[in-house]
Amino acid sequence: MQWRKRWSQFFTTVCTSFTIVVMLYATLADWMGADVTVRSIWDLFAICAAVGVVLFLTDILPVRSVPLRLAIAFFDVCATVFLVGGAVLKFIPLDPPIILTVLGMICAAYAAVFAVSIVNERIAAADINHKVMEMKKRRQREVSANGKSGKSGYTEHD
Amino acid sequence: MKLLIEQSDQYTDAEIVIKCGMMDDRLESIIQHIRLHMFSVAGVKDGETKIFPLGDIFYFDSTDERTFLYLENDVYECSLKLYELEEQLEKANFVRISKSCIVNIMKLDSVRPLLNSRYEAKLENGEKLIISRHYLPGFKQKFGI
Repeated sequence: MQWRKRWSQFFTTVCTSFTIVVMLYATLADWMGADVTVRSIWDLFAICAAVGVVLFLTDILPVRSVPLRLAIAFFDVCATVFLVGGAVLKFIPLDPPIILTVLGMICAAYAAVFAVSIVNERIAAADINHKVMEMKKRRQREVSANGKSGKSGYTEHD
Repeated sequence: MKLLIEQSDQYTDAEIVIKCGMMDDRLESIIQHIRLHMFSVAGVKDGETKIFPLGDIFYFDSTDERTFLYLENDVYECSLKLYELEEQLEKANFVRISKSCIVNIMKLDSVRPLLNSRYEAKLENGEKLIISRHYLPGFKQKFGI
């Protein structure tokens, strides 16, 4: 179950970040009059998948502080993007204006993934609260049914 | 579903027998309720030992290698370790929510998500407990999520 949950988180992270990054990249390319190539889309996917793997692995760290956890995750994302996208794939030129633009994209994607995870948790909490309410109603019905039924020597209910 | 109750002086102990072809959600819920009321746990306070049915217990908490059981407005010390309780209560309405706590889900009032994949559980008596991220999947599984 733990692994299923973590796999689901990994999948959500990769899909959400890839969608946001591709949309931002397409918007920037359109604005700057550049082309969006098939290669660039695959490079973006590779970067997002690498970020997902790194986040998946660092999630194991037993860090309890929320700000520290968020900071570690943000550092993970930046390091992976510049390492994989810049040094390995040579997709991101390591020039100051480009680095700033990429940092902006990272912030946007990071915020989006964070927002999606919050929404998912709220939905799950609402489902649990709904089931808790149902359990309480069922228990109340049972209590009232037991109160109505007589305590005879031999009882049969259909 | 048929419910058959036989009451007679010839029986000393109550016995519950369930005969069924297939186990459905309704039946599982009934069995969980029976388990909750069948088992009891002993608690000690001021040298006095009392037996509590599981249905009355809100949660178990472990501090400094001692286990305590929490009722609506009272706390008793329990001789069992948390891992022993976890094993015994696995099929009842109890679930581990942190390293030191096992909660009775029948006493839950609501839950709300916190940051860092943790939840806050509010109990019927107004007490609030933290569901840690490590135990959250197991907690959700208890509700079929």
